[in-house]
Amino acid sequence: MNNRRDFLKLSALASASVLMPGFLQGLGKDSLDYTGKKLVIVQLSGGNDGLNSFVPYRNDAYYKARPSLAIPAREVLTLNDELGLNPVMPELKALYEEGQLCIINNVGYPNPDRSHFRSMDIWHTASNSDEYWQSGWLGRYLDNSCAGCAKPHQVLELDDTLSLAVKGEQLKALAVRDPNRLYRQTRDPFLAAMMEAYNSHAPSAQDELDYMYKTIAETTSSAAYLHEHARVYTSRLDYPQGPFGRQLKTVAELICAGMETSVYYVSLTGFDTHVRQKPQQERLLKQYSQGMATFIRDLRQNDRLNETLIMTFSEFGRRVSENASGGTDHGKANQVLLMGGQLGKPGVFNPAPNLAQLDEGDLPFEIDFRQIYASLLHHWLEANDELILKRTFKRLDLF
Amino acid sequence: MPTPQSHVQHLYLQAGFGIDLPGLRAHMQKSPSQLIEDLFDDARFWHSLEVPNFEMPDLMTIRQMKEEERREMQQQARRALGTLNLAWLNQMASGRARLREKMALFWHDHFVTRHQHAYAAQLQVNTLREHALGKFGTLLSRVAKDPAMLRFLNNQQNHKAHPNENFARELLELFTLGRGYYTEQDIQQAARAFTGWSSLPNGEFVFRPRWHDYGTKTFLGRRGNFDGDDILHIILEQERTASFITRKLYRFFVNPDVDKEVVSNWAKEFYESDYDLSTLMRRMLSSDHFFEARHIGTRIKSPIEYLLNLMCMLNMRFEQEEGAIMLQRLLGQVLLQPPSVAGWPQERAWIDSNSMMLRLKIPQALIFSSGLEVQPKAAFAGNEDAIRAGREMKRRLGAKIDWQPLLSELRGLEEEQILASLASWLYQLNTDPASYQWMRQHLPPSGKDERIKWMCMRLMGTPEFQLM
Repeated sequence: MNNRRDFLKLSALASASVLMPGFLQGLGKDSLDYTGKKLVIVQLSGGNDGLNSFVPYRNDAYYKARPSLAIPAREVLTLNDELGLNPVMPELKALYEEGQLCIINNVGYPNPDRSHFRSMDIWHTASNSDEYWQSGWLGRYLDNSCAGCAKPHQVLELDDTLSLAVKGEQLKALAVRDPNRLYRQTRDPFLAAMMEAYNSHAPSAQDELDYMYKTIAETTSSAAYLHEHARVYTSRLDYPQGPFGRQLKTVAELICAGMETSVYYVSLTGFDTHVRQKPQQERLLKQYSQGMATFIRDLRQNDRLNETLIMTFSEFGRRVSENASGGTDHGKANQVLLMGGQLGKPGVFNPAPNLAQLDEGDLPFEIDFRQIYASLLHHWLEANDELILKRTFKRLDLF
Repeated sequence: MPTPQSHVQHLYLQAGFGIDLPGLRAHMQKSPSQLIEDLFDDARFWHSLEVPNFEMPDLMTIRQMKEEERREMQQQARRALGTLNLAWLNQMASGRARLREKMALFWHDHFVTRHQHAYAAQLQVNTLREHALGKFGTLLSRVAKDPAMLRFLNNQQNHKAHPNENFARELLELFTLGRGYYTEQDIQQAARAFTGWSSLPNGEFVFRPRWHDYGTKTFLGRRGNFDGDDILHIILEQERTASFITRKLYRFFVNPDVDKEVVSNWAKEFYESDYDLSTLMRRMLSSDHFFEARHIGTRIKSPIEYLLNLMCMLNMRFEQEEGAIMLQRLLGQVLLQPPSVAGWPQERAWIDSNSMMLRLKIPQALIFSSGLEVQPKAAFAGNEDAIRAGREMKRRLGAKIDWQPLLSELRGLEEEQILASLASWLYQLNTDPASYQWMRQHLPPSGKDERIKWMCMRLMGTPEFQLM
């Protein structure tokens, strides 16, 4: 295997130096202070209904608020004497029992916003709800931990375009849905000729022009690096059909190939269930549960689980009472889930929501999501959480 | 006295969205002052956008709707916003009033609203276009009474018993004075003065006297029984407002890197002209400062500017709105959908690995209808139709280009000259023709017209083309 690894190093270097403008080579750090730990973010877009994912099956208020949508106590997969899982997620129950799942209840932020766009931006930027920031928390992690390094793939989003969360003030992550396709794009002969022509008179007198050529050079070298690693390991496990399963499979393959990426970002959309929630949410939760279990099995088989932590969030939870269309409307606090091999406090982290004390019909928040970010940044990624979040948040005892 | 080519291009890129090759040739014969006169004269020729009869029902009606009806209505509203988006895009690309439209685009990113209500959005866009080159005071007052703004910044909920400060805060911070020139106290007092400013379901402004706080307020050091109009008036009395607006216009039209002395002089004149935007813009566009080399080719085109630039230079139209909106989504800037009240990010924020690679690829997709192989982010609802539409778009952007004007301008020339003409027309810097001759090795083997189209595509698929 050593030969293989050397080959990878060499070929990545070779392809990088061909295209990297001369004046950029040797600039800055080679890579961020790589600890070997990986953080995988799973975004459930649209506002997942937490109450029907982790059911307070002994709470009369829950059954009263949801005469048609509530999941009967006899059907839930019991976790403890408060909470039970939606029955479409047996795989999560197994993870729970193995100590690889941590459920943090009542997570939100002060003065919550019920718009998808705003609330998602708040989760992405980690701003207060009356602030409008234009950089994301993981982008600022990149700025902070990788200043001057020319490797957008240090943070990788599995899509064609970048989310705000992974755009920093100086550096931005790389979005890739299919490493091979990205590689093909960067192998275009015209592109190579263009870089060569630019190299012959670089740097130009124009900063913006140099910035764009530098971006192309970095993308090209990241694409080559990814392409090499994408071929190292092919998972034989059965991931669920569809884009979410494909994203997870790609992430597992890249992690197992020994990529130096520290953050991966994936998402599953469709949780905005105003109408006929049950079949839609169940279809999605099933995909989620099967996907996560397969992903974790993949990592464990390849001895990568202990260095990987997975956080799942949604931009808000939903209203406690169901609406007249068999659905639920936008709400406030929700669960955040952590998975991985090194959880300090697996199980249910804090008590389930108190349905007797609602905030305008919604679950009030108890834990600020930025406390979780601060803990992940500080304890897991070993980064400066206060600089990245621009504030001090009380870290949680998660590890 | 004719005008140098790069100056004509600079003027049309900044005060418009670019110019096609025959238009460029014709304009070079004119003097700079004649070109400026033309721009202001053309700005008179515009008309209101009217999206075919879509009116959003009022809230009570919506509440009583069945879920299916509501979904149908939301779909209609989305379609109407798309239609409005394309209608405005086409006006910007092909209307005569390019300077007015460019100003309106600036105001759209200044007086930001984001709305699912196509009718309100249309009212606001038309307000911005109507007053784009008039008195800033009139524009400000019209925007403050605009239903889109009242709703977006919650002034509908501004009641004397529980004032909502959202509008007052953004008015001072983002629209007029800028941070550091007012206190929290000023915000609270201004919010009281705007209590009762609201709108009717049909989109008309309404003043609700019973919601209004008639008490005495202290605002920016003045004391009185102020209402909203008084507050706007006091804001305009501050010279700071003139310099805030002038500085922002300078950053958009001249250079993101501000020359403080020039801005301070122009701001003074702007203030003395009673905030006349035409006077300020005339002063700016006809100054020697505007044409200095350091301001030419320095700014990265925003996605909307980039798209409009392609449309203008290639005489291109979108046959269906999906293609135009898909490109806006992929590049990160959708007209009528700014990310927040702070507006869109600027400059380098538009460029990341993916958007850069996409910009290199788009000219090919538009000119040769080749696939882009990328999909925009899914909607929150994860609508299956939208996903299918995204797949469809991989095959076809539906752009139609009228090549004849360009081809007949170039056909008679030698290929070396053609490439040189194209480069100096498409690029604002590094226009030395020798530095692009290598591109001729990346053209199809035969067919002069075909090779011209390829040269366009090659030259447009570079970082140089992103600068204006």
